[in-house]
Amino acid sequence: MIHKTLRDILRGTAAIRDRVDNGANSPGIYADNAPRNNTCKEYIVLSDVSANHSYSLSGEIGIRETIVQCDCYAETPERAYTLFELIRDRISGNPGHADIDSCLIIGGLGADPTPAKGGQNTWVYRYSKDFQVFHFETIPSLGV
Amino acid sequence: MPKTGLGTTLGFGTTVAWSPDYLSVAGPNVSRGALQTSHLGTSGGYHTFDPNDLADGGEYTAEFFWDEADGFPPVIAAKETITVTNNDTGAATEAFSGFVTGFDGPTRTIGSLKMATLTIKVAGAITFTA
Repeated sequence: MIHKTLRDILRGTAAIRDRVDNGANSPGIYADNAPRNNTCKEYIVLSDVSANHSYSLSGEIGIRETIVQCDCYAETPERAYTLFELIRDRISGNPGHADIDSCLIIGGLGADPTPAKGGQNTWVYRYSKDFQVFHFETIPSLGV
Repeated sequence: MPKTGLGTTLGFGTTVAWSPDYLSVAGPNVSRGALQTSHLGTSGGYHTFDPNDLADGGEYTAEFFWDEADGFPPVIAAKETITVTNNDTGAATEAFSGFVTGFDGPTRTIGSLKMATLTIKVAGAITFTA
């Protein structure tokens, strides 16, 4: 559940927490799902996409590679992008958390954001990037 | 019944303190010389050979996760008894006297776990116990 750890890191960062929706619906940073009654104009959703466990001949070892999708939603593409840039500034590389070895941006729908044709203001824009996270986990202990 | 390698162990009899997480143990690659005995009078269309008296036990190659907490491999240790224990029901063992002849250290790069390789020379007979 490393995406929840990343969520907590972002929630613990005032520059991000206060930036999401300008703090109106703090923290506005969620793991897996945003609330059904979400009235935020901006919010962040982190999701575990896939996880590769690591094994030696002795069995599973205590490091895992998880792909975490980070979706930033805002009412303009520019704000969605700049919201993500704050996240990148905080966790890209080494987030400085004891459970995380590295956190690398590996892809996603981070295309150059442009407003919808006609300048309509009826859309919520998403800026999405994937993180490759190497993190530490407990070793299985219930086996014979 | 063939199996994967999960559960295989490699143990140094003397330098027991060094025990990394092995990814693979390959070997041995035993070889034995063939002495050509054919001569100008040999018939049948094929060279003939006799086995050499002695075989070369070859090497084992072990790949492992590099973790600085495991310490440095025993690259200059003296000959010692080394045992590969297989993962079959009877835990068949291959025991031999050996020593390290090669250590390829890890490639430290982003996005990949650090791995290293050890080459172990078999210095005599291999005792296989089923």
